[in-house]
Formats: sequence, structure tokens, C-alpha cells
Amino acid sequence: MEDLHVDMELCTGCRACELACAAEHTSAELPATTTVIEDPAAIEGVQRGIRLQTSVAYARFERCLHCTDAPCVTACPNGAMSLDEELGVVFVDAARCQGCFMCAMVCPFGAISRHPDTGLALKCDGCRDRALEGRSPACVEACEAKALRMGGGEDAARRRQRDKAREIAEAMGLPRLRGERSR
Amino acid sequence: MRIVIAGNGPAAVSAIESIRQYDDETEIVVVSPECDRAYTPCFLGRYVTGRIELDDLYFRPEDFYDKQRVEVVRDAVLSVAPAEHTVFLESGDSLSYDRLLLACGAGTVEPEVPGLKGPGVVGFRDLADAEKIRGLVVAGNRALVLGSGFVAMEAVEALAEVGMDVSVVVRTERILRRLFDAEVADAVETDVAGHGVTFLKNSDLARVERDADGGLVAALMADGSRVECDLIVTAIGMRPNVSIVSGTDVEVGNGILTDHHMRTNVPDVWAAGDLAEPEIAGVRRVNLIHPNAILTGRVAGASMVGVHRPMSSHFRDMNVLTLFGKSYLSIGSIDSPQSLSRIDDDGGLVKVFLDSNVVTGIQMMGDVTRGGIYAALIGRRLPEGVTERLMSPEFNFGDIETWPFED
Repeated sequence: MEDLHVDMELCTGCRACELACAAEHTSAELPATTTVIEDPAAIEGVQRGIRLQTSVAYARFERCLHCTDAPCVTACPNGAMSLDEELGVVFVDAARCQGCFMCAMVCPFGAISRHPDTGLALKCDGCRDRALEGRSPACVEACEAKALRMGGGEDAARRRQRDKAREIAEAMGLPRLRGERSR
Repeated sequence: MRIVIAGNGPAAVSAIESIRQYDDETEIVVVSPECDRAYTPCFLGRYVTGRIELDDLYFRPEDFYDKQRVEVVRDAVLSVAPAEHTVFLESGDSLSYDRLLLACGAGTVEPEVPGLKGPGVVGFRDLADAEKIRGLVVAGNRALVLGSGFVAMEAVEALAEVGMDVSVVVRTERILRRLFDAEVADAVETDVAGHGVTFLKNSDLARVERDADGGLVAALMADGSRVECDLIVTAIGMRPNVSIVSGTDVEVGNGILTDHHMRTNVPDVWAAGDLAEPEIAGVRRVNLIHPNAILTGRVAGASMVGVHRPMSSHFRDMNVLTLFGKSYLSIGSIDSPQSLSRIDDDGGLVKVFLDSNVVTGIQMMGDVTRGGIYAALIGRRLPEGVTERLMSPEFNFGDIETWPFED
């Protein structure tokens, strides 16, 4: 199974990934990529499942890690959040989602946002439709600098975040239980 | 081996999935008087208003029980005879078990008020209640809601949305006392009042006036005032359904006491979900929230087939309430005098409670999507100089990765 790998040293901060994500998941008219480079605020308010955060000590992506035993799946009261076991993708079924945000309440990464129009939970769906066609996620395809790529295993950043997630989940009473399948 | 599960809610469903993860052979029998198919009680208000359908409440596919090879018996477990490994059902039948899971949830606390019991008065706990209320709501009619907690507010929203004239009986000065501090509770009250809802503060229902046919006429309050009403919804609290083990040796506190494997003190009997009171690391707690039902069900299911996946800690106190499209979030302890907060122009709020610079609780209003990031702060000591960053709308997980836990 392939995961999204991030190499921040290659990232130029162009935010084409964000734009591509938004374009993939919405029919709304979007600003051109060049505009985003010049004016990052141009895509504020546009729905997207990946967000570049540059205002921390080091730049990083705010995105879903598609956790094993994901807290958001446990917390969702009506089965709207689930795991696609084949693709290893945690995704929300917008037709079932009630916008209660129990998922966001337990996601330590802030990976879930609110759809500006529907008010429902919005998150990275791993570009499931594209994956089924054997295509890379839109963000990966858009990344000219190759900072984003699909690969096997875990990259160091992801492993660190996952370890951290485990620590946080346990502190929140969401234990990563022994005997779970791991990927 | 035969496992009998009393109840068919989220804890039962979670236990079934957990059992089947490890064991294909065991016979599973679910006994529920309520439903053949598990539903979530979380969105009953939206079902009352017709915003969503019954299908939206079912959180597993229709073929779930077939695929998991579970027999569903539509009956109620009235009592348990642990020595005989038998449960006795309302129909007069009995069922033998090798292992038993008690997962029949919590019920509405019925206020003891003269005249209250009768037509026009409904609880707000299960689908049957919601169906009754659907049959009783009439736009323009007057509804009285008893209670001002989470469930009561969901009832208030639903009744107001269908156009009823809603009044809320609040025993104290403040609504949502267990969830929010005065600042947020007052804000919720103002927001809800903006939808035409009246709050009757420091009031208590003394008696219910009925006509000769038993029809609901008015509520008489302790202060002597009289409120005419066509419907009363009671939502003053919830109590674990522990009567199922009365007359047995199963230990009961506020709920059915278990260890961190969700085992009761009686061999071959487990409990999970709203009715269970597990003791974890020396702390006993009943926690009536969906994720806790899923987690405890999972642990119990595994334990029943010999797989030890104990709870390592209690699911933290947290909940998020959405009323009229606006969300309000509460995490942890919100009674510390020290706090930091940010109030946005659009009515949004982030408030972080601290005790000697260690984060104890969080409250949010409006955009709550960063709630989990803030939840991850609880128990951590704030490093020097982070206050501004903590209150920034862009505050994120990257900021706190390196912040240490206090213990």
C-alpha cells in the first residue's frame, strides 16, 4: 500500500497542491496557480484536504494521516466516517455526515475542516476515485518540486506524527489497542 | 460457545465487530426490545423535524447482522441468573449463555411530579420517544422542555425548528452547567433565545394540570406561575439501566461496575457502553457518549473471546453541541479560574483553561474544527512565550509536537 510522502526540503511553498486538491473536490471557480503563489490568501475559504502551514517553527502540511484505528472513525455517531480497508484511506460519506464534528473533536492534527457551503465535515479522501483508476492524488500530480510523492512504507515525518498521535490518543482515552492490524 | 448481548446500540455493535475480528465460530445472540437494527440516538432531533430520515440514524448497513452471523431476538432481558448462565426475557422465554454482555444503555430520569405521567408528556432518549414527539408536534402549539442539559437543548432546537412556541424549565441560573462555564452557557442561551425560545430560570415544575379526559393543560411551577402547554418533553438526565442485574451479585455503583477489561465481578458477565462504570487506574466513571460506547464495546468483545485489549484510560470528558447550525465544544475541566481566550468578530470563541500553566480544559464556539488540536493540549504545561501563538487562528499540531506532558 502506498502512502503520501512529504519532503519539506523540496517544498517551494507554491501551494499548487492545495489548489489542485480544491479543484479535484469542487466545481467552484478557482484562481490560477500563479495567483496563489503571489497571493496565498486567494485560496483562503476554498475547501481543500491539504494545507501548507508556514507559520510554525518549521513548515509542515496539515493533512489527514489516515490513521490506523482512527479516532474520527470511532467518534462518528452514524457511520459517516469510515476506513476504506483496501486503499487504507479514512474518508467521510457526505451523504451521511450530519456536521456534528465529533470527528474534529478527537483529531489531534486538525485534519478535518468545515465545508464552507454545506457545513459538513471535509477532509482528505486520499483521492479514492483517482486511486481506483491507478492515478496519483491530485496534490501529488500538481507538485512540480516533487516534495509530495507516493511511496511504500512510512517517511520519517509521518512516522514521527504517528508516534505522536498514539501518545495523544492514549492521553485522550483513545488507546491504540494491542493486537490491531498495522500497515 | 454462545455469547448473549443484552441491548442493540453502539456498544453492542462495537462488541460484535470486535468478537468477529478474532472469532468466527462463537454463536452471537442479540436481545433488544427496541430495534432489529442499531441506530444512533445522536440525531433524534433532526429526525423529529424531518430534516433526516430513519435511514440516516442507522450507522451500519442493513446486512450487518447477517454478515456478522448474529441472531437478533426482539425481546427484553428482564433478569439474569448468573449461577445458571441464563437470562430471562419479557416474553417468558429464557436463553442460556456461556458469556453475557450487558449493553442496554441508559434511560431518561423521570421527574417525580404530580400529574406528569400521562398523554402529552414524552422523554427524549430513544427512537420510540422521537416517533411519539413527531406525532405530537404542531406548529404554533406550546411546548415545555424540562431540563437544560445537552439532550434538553437538542429537544429545544427540534421543537423550535418545527415552529412550536418553546419554553425551557431551568432549575438554576444557568443552562448546560455540566458542559460549559457561564460565558459560553450565556452565549448559547442568547443564541437559542434568538430563535424564539423562552428560558424560565430558577424554576421548577410542581404539578401538571390536566383536563377531565386527562389531556395536558398547563404546567404549574413551584413559584406559583402557570404555563399553558400542549406538549412536555422531559430531559432532566440519564441513568444507566442497572435494574437488569437487580437480585444478582453483580456490583452496581452509578452504573454496572467493571474492571478495565469491562468484566463485572461475576464470572462470564461483561458490561459496556452507557450502563457500564469501568474502574481504570483507580478511577470509576460512567460516560454517556458515543465514542465511549464504541471503545468499551470493543474492549468487552475482545475480552469475551479471550483477547486482552484493556482500556488504558477513561475516554476524556468532551462533547460538541450543534444548535441552529452553530457548534459549541467542551473538553476536560472548565472550572479553573485561570484562562486564556480569543473572541472573534463572528461570535467564535476559543478558551483554554489552565491550572498553574497546565492545560485542564477547552471551550470553543463557532468553528470547532481545531478542537482536537486543543484537546491534545490537555495535561501539557505551556512553554514560555506561546500565548499569542496558542490563541492564533492558525494554531496547529506542529506547534505542540514538542510540548511536554506535565506528568
